[in-house]
Amino acid sequence: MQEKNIPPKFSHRLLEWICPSGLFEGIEGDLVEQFEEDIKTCGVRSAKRRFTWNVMRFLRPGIILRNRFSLQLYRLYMVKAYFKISLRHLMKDKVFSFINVIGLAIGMVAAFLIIQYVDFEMSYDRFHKNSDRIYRVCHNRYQDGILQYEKAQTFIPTGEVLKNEYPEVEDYTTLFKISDQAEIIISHYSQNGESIKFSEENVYHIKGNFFNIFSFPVVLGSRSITSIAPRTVLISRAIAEKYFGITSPLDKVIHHTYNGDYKVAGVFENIPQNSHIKPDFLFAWESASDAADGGDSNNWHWDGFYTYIKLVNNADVKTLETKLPEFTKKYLGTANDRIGESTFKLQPVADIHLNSHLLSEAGVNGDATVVGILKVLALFVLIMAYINYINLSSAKANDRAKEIGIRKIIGSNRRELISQFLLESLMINILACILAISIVIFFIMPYREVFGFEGSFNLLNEKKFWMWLISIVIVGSLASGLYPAFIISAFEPINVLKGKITSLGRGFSINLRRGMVTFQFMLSIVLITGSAFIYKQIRFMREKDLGMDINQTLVLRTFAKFGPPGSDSVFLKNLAVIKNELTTVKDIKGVTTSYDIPGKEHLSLFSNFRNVKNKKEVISLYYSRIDYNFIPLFEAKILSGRNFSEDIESDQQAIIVNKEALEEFGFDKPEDAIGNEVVYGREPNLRKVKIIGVVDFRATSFKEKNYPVVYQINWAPLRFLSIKFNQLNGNDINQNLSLIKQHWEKIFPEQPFDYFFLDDFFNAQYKSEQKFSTTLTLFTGLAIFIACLGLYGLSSLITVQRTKEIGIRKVLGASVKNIFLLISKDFGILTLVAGIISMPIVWYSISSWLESYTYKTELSWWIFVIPLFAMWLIVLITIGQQAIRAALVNPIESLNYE
Amino acid sequence: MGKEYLGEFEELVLTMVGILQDDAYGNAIVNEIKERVGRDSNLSAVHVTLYRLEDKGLVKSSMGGATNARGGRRKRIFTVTNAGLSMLRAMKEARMDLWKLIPQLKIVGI
Repeated sequence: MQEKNIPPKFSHRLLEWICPSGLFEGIEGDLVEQFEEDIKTCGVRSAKRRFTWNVMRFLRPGIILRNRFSLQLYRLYMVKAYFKISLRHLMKDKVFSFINVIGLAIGMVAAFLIIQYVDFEMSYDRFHKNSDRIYRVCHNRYQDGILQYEKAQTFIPTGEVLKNEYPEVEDYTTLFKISDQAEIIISHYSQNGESIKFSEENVYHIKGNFFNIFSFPVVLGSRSITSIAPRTVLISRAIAEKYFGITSPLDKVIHHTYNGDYKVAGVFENIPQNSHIKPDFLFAWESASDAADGGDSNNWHWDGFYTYIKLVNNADVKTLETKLPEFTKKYLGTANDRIGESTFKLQPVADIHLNSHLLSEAGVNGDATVVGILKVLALFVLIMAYINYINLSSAKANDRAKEIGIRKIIGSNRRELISQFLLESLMINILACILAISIVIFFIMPYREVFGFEGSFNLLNEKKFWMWLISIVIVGSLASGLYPAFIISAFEPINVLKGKITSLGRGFSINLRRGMVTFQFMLSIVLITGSAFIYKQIRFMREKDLGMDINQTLVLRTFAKFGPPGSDSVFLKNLAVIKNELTTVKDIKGVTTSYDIPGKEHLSLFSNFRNVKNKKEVISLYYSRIDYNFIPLFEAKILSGRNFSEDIESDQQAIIVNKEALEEFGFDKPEDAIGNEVVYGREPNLRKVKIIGVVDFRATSFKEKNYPVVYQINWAPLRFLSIKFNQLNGNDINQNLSLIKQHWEKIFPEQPFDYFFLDDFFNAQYKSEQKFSTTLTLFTGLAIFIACLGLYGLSSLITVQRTKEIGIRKVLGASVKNIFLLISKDFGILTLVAGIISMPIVWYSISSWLESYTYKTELSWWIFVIPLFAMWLIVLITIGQQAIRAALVNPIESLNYE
Repeated sequence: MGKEYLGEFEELVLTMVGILQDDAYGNAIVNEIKERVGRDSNLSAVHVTLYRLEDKGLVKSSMGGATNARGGRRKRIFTVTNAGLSMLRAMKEARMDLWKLIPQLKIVGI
């Protein structure tokens, strides 16, 4: 603890650096005193922040320029002179300055945008007070020692028991996302008797002190609320506006499909985008367990509940985790015997968004790898931009040789010359920085939409961003300014003034320049290859045969209530009516109903079938329900056997399995399974069911392994009504939509008309890949642009410096082609070298990226060769104009030069 | 009084140095301003002002003794010079002269 209460080292060092030594101790002491005061009043963390901020505020001329008192006048005078000279140099060669500033600015923009994205991704769930003490309890399920699944949810009593059992646990809350289990319609009768109803997707029931764990501010109703009183609900601000408009929602009543009426007890602020749970409704807890399972406090069977706990101050998570096996034994002992074993894990809440990819996550999580790649990318793009500066200024060193010579003779020492060049580089950096910020302001809006940022998240308002900015500028100008400053200031005045500067621009300097250009080319090639490859992988996944036809399909959500089979006979009858009515419409090819739809996360995973070879082994399969039309209408591929038939009574009890389920069962060939009976159920009530068909179509995207699914004709409710059209064009779709809507509203007046197109829905699974691909392409473009700028500047400098050589060569009979080759040969070779170096890097990074994909497109040879040629072409175009111009110049002019 | 003028904040800081006597260092001045005038001032601003006053010869400074507090760093203690005192006095008098010239409306009104 003692260790923590010292001011941040970095700020401390910064202070030491900016402060004249005479003043340092007094200022430092004052700051430390204030820091100690702040610790008492507002805690260590914000005291540290304040300390840094206060140090920053000492960055003012009155302090920094107050060097040794006697030297002050002279110093200020020289700084003015340096400034003037630097400015003149910038103005003298406008193209050169422009290339430098633009290149740096683009590099900074790229870095800012990436920092904004990365910062946003890393900010998830850190806004909760004490977020470092909040953990999610997750749960691994084993069967006979084999891991069945890792789930983000646990059992209902987990949180409560943990709190009662262990002193480390301060509080808990349990969330039931009921909208994942069934379609939820929330309705409200407004004052004039009109019913407002919507289907809602973020509906939760809450147990425990939700607001004690999470810091979502309540804006209406009791602000000090911790738990949700029975029969009440809290809603988000957006929902309040949606249902109640401008009138106050407090004490109004809303209706919940399953659990009846609730009184609105409060409104919470809209959940920030960077929260991994995004509830719209927080309903009071309702008992969720069957009496057979012993009620909510004893139900250790149903693992469908998010559990969050908050630890007490200074609690050690590791110690708590070691106690969890004992906890399992104590409470799950009996349950374990019946259906398998469970183990629990604790996840820090701030880690969930980037690092958790479990079964039944509350939302789509980000990817730590992508964030890591982008971080590296930001760094490299910046380095590329600085390389331009280093290359151009060292190549241009000759131009300044005379100036240096004269200044050395007048009496400048080397240190002063170096600080002059550093000031120049600082000026270019600051110019670039201003330009970059303006670009960010104009570009940030479109970019933000690309990534779906929330409006309120703006990098420019973040203190951290300005810290970044200052450090980039300072580190950047030092790093990029030092090398040119050193070589330029090393000139020997006598040699320089005699005109002997031949030693310059040879040897080490040239090799370094070549090395850096190669590095830029290599990075560009890696980026081109990477983006091309990711694009290829996405296309591969999108175009791979699904085993079924999902085009021209409209899907309606049916909002069937969730209950035992046949419990809703009116609904089923209505469903049959609308199916019949729709089949008569001209453009409609057919209609089918099902429990799941391809591309929807299947949730009904049960472990109760047995392997056919090893009768003891329990396997986990997804259950899904389709009707008689499903397979023929979607032209789903049948590997063996047949579809369900209405004429065969026993099909009601039979199952169709997919290829993946077949493997789980342990059958070798599809044909073996047909007519076979498989065993399911809990001991000792084992039952048998017959397999009549084996199908092979996708239930999920090609990013992962297909779900092993058992299809039945009579089990779960039918939640999706798919309507397949004959060939349609734009106009017909709208006509048909309104027609279908008419039918729908006639038969299901109380249900919202909620539809989507199946192909769009299915392809939305590749959204994160698309986003990554777009980002990568964008930054590849920026990187290439920066490399080209540098190349352009460098080649133009080189042609100018070689003017005389070219003139002499032409006089001696060199052709335009020879000259062109002379100039471009160097860069061509560098490109080739870069290409060769890039290959292993590309190969390594692509294969590690691909690892998480089950279905991979192959790494063909052209994916390496084409980017190389593309790069070659880009290089040729960039330097071509320079080279041709140099080659075409009349030798008389070039020999007259200077 | 010569060509040198004091800004409003400079005057405030100078006065505080005068008030605090032997205990006039950066932080104490910030706190004193907060306490007496109710105004939030920033440490860096106070420091810069102090140095400026020092340049003008209105205050002088020396390092105090080390204490256990503030990580063992010594304080830079400022004291008002004679020039500073006469500056303060001159300003006060000039102000009082001007103040007397304002028609005393309130008193008349009663």
